Parts: sequence; structure tokens; C-alpha cells
Amino acid sequence: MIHNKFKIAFFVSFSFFSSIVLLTLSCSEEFLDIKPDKQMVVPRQLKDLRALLDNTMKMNISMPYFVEVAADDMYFNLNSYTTLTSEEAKLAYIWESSPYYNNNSSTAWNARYEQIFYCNLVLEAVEKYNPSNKLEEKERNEIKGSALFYRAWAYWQLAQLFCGPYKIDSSNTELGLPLRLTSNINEIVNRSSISDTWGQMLLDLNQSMELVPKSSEWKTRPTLPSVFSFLSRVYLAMGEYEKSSNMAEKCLELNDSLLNYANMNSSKSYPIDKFNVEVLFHSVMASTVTIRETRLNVDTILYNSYDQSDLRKICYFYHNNGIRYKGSYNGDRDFFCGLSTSETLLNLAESELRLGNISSSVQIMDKLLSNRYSTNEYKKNLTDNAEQLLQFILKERRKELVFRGIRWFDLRRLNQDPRFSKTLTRKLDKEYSLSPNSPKYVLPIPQNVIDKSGIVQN
Amino acid sequence: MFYSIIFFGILHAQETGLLNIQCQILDRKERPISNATITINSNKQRIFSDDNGSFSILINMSDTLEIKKLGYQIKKLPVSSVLNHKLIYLNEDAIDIEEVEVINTGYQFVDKWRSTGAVKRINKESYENRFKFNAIDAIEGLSAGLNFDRRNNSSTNDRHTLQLRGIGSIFSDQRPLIVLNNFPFEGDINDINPNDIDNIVILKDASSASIWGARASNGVIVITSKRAAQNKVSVNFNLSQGIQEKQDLYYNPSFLTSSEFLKLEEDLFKIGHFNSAENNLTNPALTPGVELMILKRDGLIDQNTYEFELKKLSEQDIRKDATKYLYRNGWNQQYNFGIGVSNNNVNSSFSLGYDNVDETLQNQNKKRILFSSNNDFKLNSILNLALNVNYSNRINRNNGLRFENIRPQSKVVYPYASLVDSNGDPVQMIKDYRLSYIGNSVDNGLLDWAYVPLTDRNFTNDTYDNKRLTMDISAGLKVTSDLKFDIKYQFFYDEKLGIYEYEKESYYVRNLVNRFTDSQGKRVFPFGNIRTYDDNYSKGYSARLQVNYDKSLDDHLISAIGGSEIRQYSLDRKVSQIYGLDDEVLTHNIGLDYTTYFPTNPNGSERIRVPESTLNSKIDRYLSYFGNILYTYKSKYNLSASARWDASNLFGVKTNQKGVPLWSIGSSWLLNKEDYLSIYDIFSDLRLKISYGFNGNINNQATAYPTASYYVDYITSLPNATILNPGNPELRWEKIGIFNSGIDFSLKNKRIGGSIDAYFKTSDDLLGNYELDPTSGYNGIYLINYASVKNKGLDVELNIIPIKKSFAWRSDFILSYVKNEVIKYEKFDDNINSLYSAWLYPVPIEGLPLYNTFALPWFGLDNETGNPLVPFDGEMGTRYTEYLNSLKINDLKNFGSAIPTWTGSLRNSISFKGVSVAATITWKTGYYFRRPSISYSELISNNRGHIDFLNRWKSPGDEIKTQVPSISLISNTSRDLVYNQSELMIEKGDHIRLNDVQIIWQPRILSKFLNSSQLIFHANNLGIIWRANNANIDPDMPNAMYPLQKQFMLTFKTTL
Repeated sequence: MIHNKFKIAFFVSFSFFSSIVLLTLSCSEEFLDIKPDKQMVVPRQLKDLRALLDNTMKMNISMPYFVEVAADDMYFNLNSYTTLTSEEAKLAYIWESSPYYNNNSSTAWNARYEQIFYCNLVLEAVEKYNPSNKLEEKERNEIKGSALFYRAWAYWQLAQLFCGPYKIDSSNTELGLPLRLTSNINEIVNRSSISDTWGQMLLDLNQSMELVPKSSEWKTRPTLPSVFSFLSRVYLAMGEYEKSSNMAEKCLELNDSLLNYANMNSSKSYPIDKFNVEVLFHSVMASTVTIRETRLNVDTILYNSYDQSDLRKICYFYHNNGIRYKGSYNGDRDFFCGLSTSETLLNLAESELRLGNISSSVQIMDKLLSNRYSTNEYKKNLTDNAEQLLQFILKERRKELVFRGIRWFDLRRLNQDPRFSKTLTRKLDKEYSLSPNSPKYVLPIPQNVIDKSGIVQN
Repeated sequence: MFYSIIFFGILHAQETGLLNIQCQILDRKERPISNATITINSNKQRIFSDDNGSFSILINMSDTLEIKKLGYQIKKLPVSSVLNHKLIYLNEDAIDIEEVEVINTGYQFVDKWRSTGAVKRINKESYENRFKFNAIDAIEGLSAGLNFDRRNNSSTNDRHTLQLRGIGSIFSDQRPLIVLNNFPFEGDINDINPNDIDNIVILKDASSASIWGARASNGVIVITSKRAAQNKVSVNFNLSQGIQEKQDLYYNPSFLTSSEFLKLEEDLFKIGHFNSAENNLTNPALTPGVELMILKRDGLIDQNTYEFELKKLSEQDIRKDATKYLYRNGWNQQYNFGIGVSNNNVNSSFSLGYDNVDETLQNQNKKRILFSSNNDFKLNSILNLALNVNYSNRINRNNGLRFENIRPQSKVVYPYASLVDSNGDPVQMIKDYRLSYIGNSVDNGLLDWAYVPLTDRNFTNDTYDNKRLTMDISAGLKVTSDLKFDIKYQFFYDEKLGIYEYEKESYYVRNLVNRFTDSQGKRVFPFGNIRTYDDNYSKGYSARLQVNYDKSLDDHLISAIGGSEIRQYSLDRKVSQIYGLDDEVLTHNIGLDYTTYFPTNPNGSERIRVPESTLNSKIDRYLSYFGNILYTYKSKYNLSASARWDASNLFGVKTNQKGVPLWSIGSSWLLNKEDYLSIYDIFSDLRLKISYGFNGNINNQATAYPTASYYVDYITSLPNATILNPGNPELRWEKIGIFNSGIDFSLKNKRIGGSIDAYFKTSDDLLGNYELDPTSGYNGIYLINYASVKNKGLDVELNIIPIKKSFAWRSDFILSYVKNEVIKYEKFDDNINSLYSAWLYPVPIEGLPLYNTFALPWFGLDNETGNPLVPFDGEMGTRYTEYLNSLKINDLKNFGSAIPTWTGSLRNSISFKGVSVAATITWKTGYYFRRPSISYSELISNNRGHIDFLNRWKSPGDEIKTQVPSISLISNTSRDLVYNQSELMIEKGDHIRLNDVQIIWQPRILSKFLNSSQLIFHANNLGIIWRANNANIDPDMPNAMYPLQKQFMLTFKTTL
């Protein structure tokens, strides 16, 4: 009797025990496959890849602001300069390539390569993804196109700082950027040539052109007009005026909206709205106290070059212990550096002129400027002297695109032409100067990068 | 242990008038006591109990018995009481060498003489007699190898970090695993009722701990709750009341007296230091002293008024007001009530605890209710069931204002500030803006902008309410006498609901409203309460299936267990913030514009900060298989082996890499059982042990695949993702190899016992920071398995009872040595400054302890300027920044470990006639700490002074008397670093501390009514008896604002 009881108990418990063991074994894979953190994902789905590219902090914001600190549209007075907290900015202001980099890294470098890493990760994942329907295929293409665009955008920003300007004759020999095209973080990539660097930008953009949508609800996402506009900028920097003009035209065919400054309320603290009709691609420089309006003085000669009836004078600037800037297309104190129809028009005007199409060039300038003056104040009396007109366009280019990250690259490309070369000076406790085509136009590569990768310093 | 209780009936011997009684004598653990002396009171006849503890005797009903046995308290009892009970329990002599027979590892009960590893059971009496708010605090100084690391602490009640036998990991958890009633405890240690604990066992080596596998690398602390005593009803009650002394604000040397501070402000004023602030459009606040100087400069007050007012200020001392109005003597109350009921088939215990702690900071209070019920049911000879329920509720109100949190101007409070006026009424203090600016804010259509610290603390509300419910259900099925199945299931639910609120009257809200009020007087920011909810819900379950096999065959004894376990732990967190709340009607503001830059007062423009909003959901899952075999031959030789395989849902780890197999082996040899070694006859236990094995450690941060986390983009409001980790496909779990060898001993006379253990721990495959080329696109910490850390050490415990008469003395001595060394780690030359400035977080360097003390060499002061001298470019000078940048690791002075290498304690207790006194002395040696001193940039920019300021270099010649640099009115952080991180600041940490004292009185009067009762006086944190440093700093917490506060408690314990 008792013996029987034991038998039953043994049987029941044994079968129970073994069934549970089997159960845990069989479902262990699923049991352990659950995500430990809901917020975390291994980015593989289109949704995840899109979300990576929609990270505006990495893709659109925090672009390097040294292009303004080192350029000639602004100056610091001695007090503002000495109280700067960023050593890096202090040195950039006086064009000092310095021992500072011996111990430190550069956010300008790090943040852009982070953007490139995101893009590479997305590009790899997108290749592995098999779309299940048309809609997914469209989304997949858009994501791929966007990633290519963002990667080119990052290389552009880096190319303005860490390697010399594009020159047809020397671009094959001069050192460009390390071109990282995979997300393998352990890969060591050596520096390419300048022509390879620019070639990669063109390659990415030309591929992107086939994939991005014509328009988007979000100005932070790349669209066809922004790819065209970007290409016209790149070709302009390369001196390929015909292509630049072609791209600018294609862009403006899709979108040539302009703000009429006569309708602007210049008394607002920041008169120009964020995401306004001129913005093709939204991008902003890093928000930093270094170039806050309270510290940064606008170059007086530049300010005085605006006509009294030029509305940009009151929409862009105000007086408060000096001339201050308030004309950011970001609608606030942070500096816009994205792509716009106004920039594209200026690219077109310059390229057309350089190609000899004076009348077309004049027409374009008229179109832009008539939107910049008080109603009926703008006089269409442009010269048809090509040389004078070029001077005029370049002057207007500087005035229109002030503090939009354009001046530095204009200085670098125009210095190659003795007609437009300029020596920059800084007055602090002593005077500093930057002569045209000086090697100081190129920042040193951060020392920690050199230490880790062994690539060649500038 | 399995035993069966045999008891005998009572036979009446009616003819003689005498009764023939048969009884059994047992100890509290139900073990029969043989050879006890039973004396009949009337005729002094003596008999002895047999091997079963039984005896039978013919005795008169009115007689009394006296039962004596060495090691137990003498018991006298009337025959009448034996008639009903039949069982006589002897209490163990309170001050015997504790010979614990059985150790609970959380998986099984192991006879201690069979163990092969380093296992420590905390001395129960020492633990019981201490006053404890939580279970872990009360074991300090009671076990070798355990270090309470308090370097981070700024005050007495801060949490410490527990380290067992050194530090075996760099970036993963360094704390031991805590196991409560068989399962890992993931909650707050305060949720365990400290008075409800039966015993605490510490598993230190591989053979004892590796059954806990991947979580055991730092050792395991196993806590077991009380069970009701066998076959009786018992009721116990504890009542404690006590005080904690208020913070001593005058202890902190980082303070400058009011007059010195005002003198400094005058000097700074002269060189125009405040000019930019005075003319700044943001109207930053200026101290009353500086405001006076401005008035005088502008001719608005004359010299006499100025001096009079200045003198008035210099007589004020904020520490005086703060001591009186912010702090108080704390009051602790603790009540605990327990009932135990048991018979042969049911064992139930209930306990209810309540604590109320009025902390030493005013408006700060903790309340706690703890309930537990443990029930074991023996349904029949083969089936046992158990149901345990634990519930705790803790409510904390943290509405006090700490001295260090007053912070006018967002700086350390200036020393002559005051909290009250001469009438004792709360008074305004500067905060963000000059009084001249905010003075007429009401007239300008703004809210009152005044900051009154003492009233303001009433308008903030920081509370949390934590409830935790744990349920254990288990069943044991005894299939045969050798084979037993166990199913254990535990479930817990924990919710911690926090509310942090600024009421509309608070300065915080008024300031925001005023800042965002536009020139027309329109309020952009809503005038209402700002409330933040921080709700955390965690729940989890564990389930274990285990088979136990115990077989005894001739000379062979086998105990084996095996089984599997699954665990899940999840945490959901929800943080939400509400602006503009009206608590009476619960309306609040939504749809504020968070993107526009609004003009702000006094100047500038800003966006309204988006209200906090966070959602987290985390889940950890583990699956384990385990087995352990213990084999004993001839009761002399023990062999143990264990293996465990753990797997988890660690993120992105490829499935075949999710698991980790861990194992251990061990053996022990009982020398005292060897007949040919008769010299060991005096030992009741003399056991040589040796063990080796691997334990694991988990790190949730490292992942194999790139992982991203979702957020809401603040520009587009679209979901966006940020890469958290680029992924490391070669990721492995950390693995720690432990070798332990030792000896356990105790004498037969139970006067001397102890253990000596030596160990080596080698942690390979540790995750270490690896710095990548930023061009890779990843700039954060990249963790890979490559680092190694080694610990070697020695644990010695010695328990002696020198005198054991009516006057008794017991002495427990503990000594631990541990040497910690990084064997492999990538060197960062460019992070040299982290070496000499950090000592709280690890800066691993090959060949040195993980926490090491480095300092800059000191070259003295310049004899003309009092500047610290540094060499650069071959000459002594003041090029501090260049000097600091040029430093290489060999230029630094290396002092050694920042964690004690030798620790120990001595606990003595003496007892005489129902009164006993116990005291614990602890010591720590072989380590260094950095003391703070004056930093002029901190002084000028942050108001933080230091008494060393008074000894500074003032004129040539002073460099002979002092090493404190001359004042620098221009902030120069490099100059301050050269001094503050120099070798001058490094002090030896060696010290001896009187940790705690208890006086225990067992009143005889009460024993007539109560079974046993005790009155205990506890004193904790009695202070440092000796220290190597002259700076009067507690080396365990050198950055503390206050010394450890003394605590005095009175406890009354009784058992009915």
C-alpha cells in the first residue's frame, strides 16, 4: 500500500519534473530572445533605419561653426575673446594650428564621423533588407538615398576644415579625408586624396538623386531639390560652372520660392522663420556660446555695404553695443547652414556669368534682389560689364549668405583667383593675419585621431 | 537535516504517589542533547540523558528538576510543567563559540563539517544585539573579507558599497549577490525586516558560491528568515527608541570665516572683480558685502556706516543659523512584533515591524511597515508545502533643506549669510539676481521675486512611497528516504511612486514665471505648481525545480542536487512632469510652446524647457541549470563538485554565446577524525580545505550587435534613434577564477575556534574601456573583454572565550588582507589628469591597484610670490598649464591603494549576572586618501573656502612655515590643481574606530512573567579612536560634510 503510494508519487513528480525541464529547454530560445529594454533595438527594420536618419541632432544640427569663427564676417573684441571658454575656438579665431590638439579631440571631427557611421550602418542594413511590397521598396529607396545624402553632407563639412580646397591641378596629390564607407569600427582607413574625397561626395549625391523623393513634409530630410542644390554648391566649389549651373537650374525648376523681405516684420527678435519657403534642406551649426549674438560683432565694413533700402540690413542685424546678427534661417540664435533657394540662385547667377551668359545672370540677380528691397526701391540697373558684374554677384553672395557657413568656402575657392584673393586680419592684443591660400586654411587633424589611426597630419 | 522526533508518553505510577515521567531534552534546533545532567531538587539524585536525549525518572508531582549541560543555559522547571510538554528545550549558552552545524547556501543545507570552501555564518548573538535599520549594515566588522566602502559618502546615512574579498571587476557590478530565502533579492535592502532574520551566511569562494553561477563572482550573502520554534507558541516583542545627533557643520574644514571672506571680497572688489557682474545685463546676484562696497564707492553711504554694516555682517555665521533652523537631533523608533506557532505539522510565524525615523535634517522623515508570514505545512510523510508572504511599505519625505543645498548665486553659500533676522523670522537671501533688480518686481507687474530659504523649503515636496510584496510558494516531495523533489516559486511586485513638486509659491516657480513674463505683463510660463511623477514598477518571478539525493551507505555519504531555474525581472519607469498645476481643481497647462525662443527677464531669450517625460521598460531573463555533488568518505574526507550553466537575454548576444558554463571543485579533510593523529584530539573540528572554480559576472551595457535607443526628436517630433553601442561581436561574460585554501578549527572545550583562509582570485576577460579612433564614428565607451584583475588575500577569524564562569568573556578577532592589482589594461597616456584627480572611480593601470592614489610631485613655493613652483623647459616656474599637459605617468607620485588592504575588527563581550557589555573596534590600514585644501579658483568663483586659507603664504619668508600658496585673485585652475592634487594632500588612511557598543541587561524581575526579556542600550558610530592623519578627517569618507553622527538607542526585547 505504502509502496504503491510512493510509486505514484514518484511517477507524478518525475513526469512533472521532466516535463518542465523539457519545456524550459524547448522554449529557452524564445524565452531568452526578448528585448531587455523596450527602447533599445538592433537597427534592422526600415522603421529603425528611418529613425536613425531622423536623428536631427546627428544629421542636421551641430555642424561645425569654425567656418564662421575663422571667416571675415565677424570679429570679437578683446574682452569677448579672452572670456571664450572654448580653447579650440580661440585658436581657430586667430588661425593658429596649435599644440592644443596634442592632448585633445575635436567635436567637429568626431560628430561628423559619427554621422558618417550612422549613414554607413543604415546603408549596410538597407542592402540586407528585402522589401515585402512596393511601399516598402519605396521607403527603402528613400532611406538609402537619404543616407547617401547625409554622408556627403558630413564629408562636405569636414572637407571645409580638415583638408585644402579643391583644385583641379593638385587634387590628386593633396591629402583629403579618410573615407569611411563601412560601419566596421575596427577598420583603419587612411587618408584619400582630395579628388577622391570630392569624388565620393559626387558619387553619393548622384546615387542619391535617383532615390530621394521630390518633396517631403520635413525639411530635415533630403529631397530632390536639395540634392540638386547641394550638387550645384559642390560643382561651384570645384569650379565646374556648367554642371553647377545645370544642377541649380534643375533645383529651381522644382522649387524657386523666395521670401519677400518687404513682408517681413523686422522688429521681431528673429524676423526670419524656421523652415521658411526658401529652405531646401535644414541644417544648423552647433549651438554654442562662442558665436552667441551677444558676443559676436558683425564686420562693420560688411554691414555698411548694405544699402539703406536693403531690407536685409534691418532683418539680419540690430544694434546693441555694436552690430549684432539676428537673421538666421533657423528662426533663433543658432546659425542656419543648410541649403536654400537663395543660395542656389546665387550659384546659378555666378555660374551663368562665368559661362558668359550675362543676361541670364542679370535676370537671376534681379529676381533675388527684388525680393530683398522695400517695394519699388530696388532699381534694375545692373551693369553688363562681366568683370564688374562678377564682383557685384560675389559681393551680393556674401551679403545674402552671411553667417550661413558659406563665406569660409568662398574665401578658400576665391583666393585661388588673384582678382578676389584677400588677406584677413584680427586685432586683439596684437594683430594676426591670414594670407590667401595659406596652409592655415586647413585645421590640423585632432591628435587623438593621429595617435589611434596613424594617419598623416596636415 | 532530517530527524524525527520521538517522544514518550507518561506512565502514571499510581501506587506510589510518584510519577514515572519520560522526557526528551532537545536543543533549539530539535537535536537531542545527550549526557545532560538531571538533578532532582528534593533528594539531589542525579541521572543522565541517553543518546536520544531521553531519560525516565520516578518523581513526585511537586518536585522540581534542574537540567545542566555544558554549553547550554541551566534550566530549572517544576515537574508539573513537564507533564504536559514532555519535551525540554535547552537554550544554548549565549556566549559559546558558535558551532553552526548547518549552512544554507540558498540551494541546500550542508553540514558545516562537510563544507570544502570559505563559508562564514555571522555570529548570531552579535547580530541580534546590534541595532539595525537594515540587514546588511549590522554585519559590519562581523566577517573577514568584507569592506564597507564609504569613500563616496557625504553624510552618515548615505549608502556604502559592499566589497567582498577585493574588487573583481572594473565596470560591472562589484557588489556581492544578496539572496533572501533561496532567491536573489533585487529590491532595496531596507525592504527586509532586520529583526526577522534568523541567520546570514557569506559564501566567499568558488566551491560554496559557484552554485550561484554567473552572479557569484563577488561572493554571495545568503539571508534566511526566522521560523517558529518547534512545538510551541511564542510571542516576541521588540521596542527601540533612540536618537541620532545632529550634523556637526563646524567639522567641515572647507569653510572660511565671515570676516576673512569679507576681507577677500574687499580685495576682489578693489581689482574690479565684480565689475563685469555689476554691469552685466543679466543682473546676477551680488552678496550683501559687495553691495555695501558698491554703495560706498558710489558715495551713497559714508565710511562709518559702511564699517558698521560690514562689522554686522562679519559677526554672522551661516553655520549657526543652519545648525539651528535646518537640523535637529534625529529620533528613531522601531517596533517589532512576532508570533510563532508550531506543532508537528504546521510551522507558522508572523511578524509585524514599524519604523519611524525623524532624520537629523528637519522636514525629513522615513516610515516603514514590514509584514511577513512564513508557513510550512507538513501534509503527510512525503509532502511539504510552504507559503511565505512578505510585504513592506516605506514612505520617505525628503523635504529638508541641506546646508550644502542653499546655494545662492548657484554657488556655495557665503559664510555671513543668515536664514533669520534678529527676531528669528525667516529672511530673504540673494539667489539669482541683484536685490536692486528684483526689489520692485511686484510694481513692474511681476511676482514677488524674493528667495526666503526657510519658507521656501515648505513649498517643495519630495516624497516617495514604496510598496513591495513578495510571495514564495514551494513544495517538497519526499519520494524515498533518499530522494526529494523541490519546486520553489517566488513572485514579487514592487512599486515606487515618487512625487517631486514645486508649489506655485516656491521660488523655483516664481522665478520661471517672472523670467518668462513679457513686457506687456503677459505670463508665458504658467503660474502654478510644477509636479513631477516618477513611478517605478518592477516585478519578477523565479521558479526552481530541484532534485535532492542524500544517500548514506557504510562509509559513503553522498548529497547531490541538480535542477533548473528560470528568472524574470522587469522594470517599468514612467516619469511625467506637469506645469501650471492647480492642486485644488487639478487643472494644468498643456500645449505650451516649447520651440519658440521667448524674450526673458532680465535679458536674453530662451525656450521653455519641455516637461520631463520618460518611459522605460526593461526586462531581464535568466535560465540556468545547476548541479552539486558532495561526497564524504568515512566522515573524514569530503569532495565537492558543482557545475552551472547560465544564459540570459543579454542584449544582442548571439544565442550560442548567451550561456556560460561555470564549475568548481573542492575537498576537505577532517584531521581531528584521524585516529593516528591523536594530537588533534583536543579539536572538535580541524578541517583543511581546498577549492578552485569559476564564477561569473554580468554586464548589461555591452552588446554584440549595434544597438540604438528611441527618443522623440525635439525638432521634428518624429521618432528618432540614437546609437548606444556599436556592438562587439566577440563579447563574452566575465569570468573569475577563485582558488581558496584554508583551515577551520574549534576546540572540544568550545573555548577557541576560528578559521584561516588564503585565496587568489583572477578575473580574466573583464570588460574594459577601449578607446577607439573617433574616425570610427563612435566616441563613447567601447567595452571589450580584455582586461584582467587579480586579488590575493587572507582572511583570519579567531573566536576565544578566555573566561567562562559566572563572569564570562568572549573575544572575536577578525583580520583580512587583500591585494588588488590590474594585470592587463590598455594605457591611456592622454588621460593623465584623471589619474591624479580621480580616486572614486577606477583608473586601471597595469601593475597597480584598481583604485590607486596618485599625486603630483610638490616643488615648494616661490620665495617672492608664494606661487607653487613647477618645472617646465628645464627651469622652475609657473607655467602650470604647459607643465600639466606635459606630464607623463612616471612624473606622478604613486602612493598606493585607495582601498584598505588590511582591515580587521575586535569584538569583546563580557557578561556578569545578567548584564553583558559588548563593543566592536574596527580598523583599516594600508591605504591613502586625498584631503581637500584651499583652491583659489573655487574660492573666487564658487565661494568654497578652506581653513588652510589662513595659513597661506603672505610675504617672503612664509615659504619656510607654510606650503599653502599665496592667494591668486585671478582664477587659475591649473595653479590650484598643482597644489590641491599634490603629494601634500595625500594622507595615510590608517585608523581605528569604535564602531558600536551594546549594554545588555536581562532583568530577573521580569523573568517571573516573561519567558525572557532584555534591555539593550546601543551606541553606534562612536568615533575614531586613532587615525594616522593630522587633518582630523575620517579617512573612510574624506569628502563628507559632517563626521559620522553618533546614534544611541534603547531596545526592549521580550519573549512570552
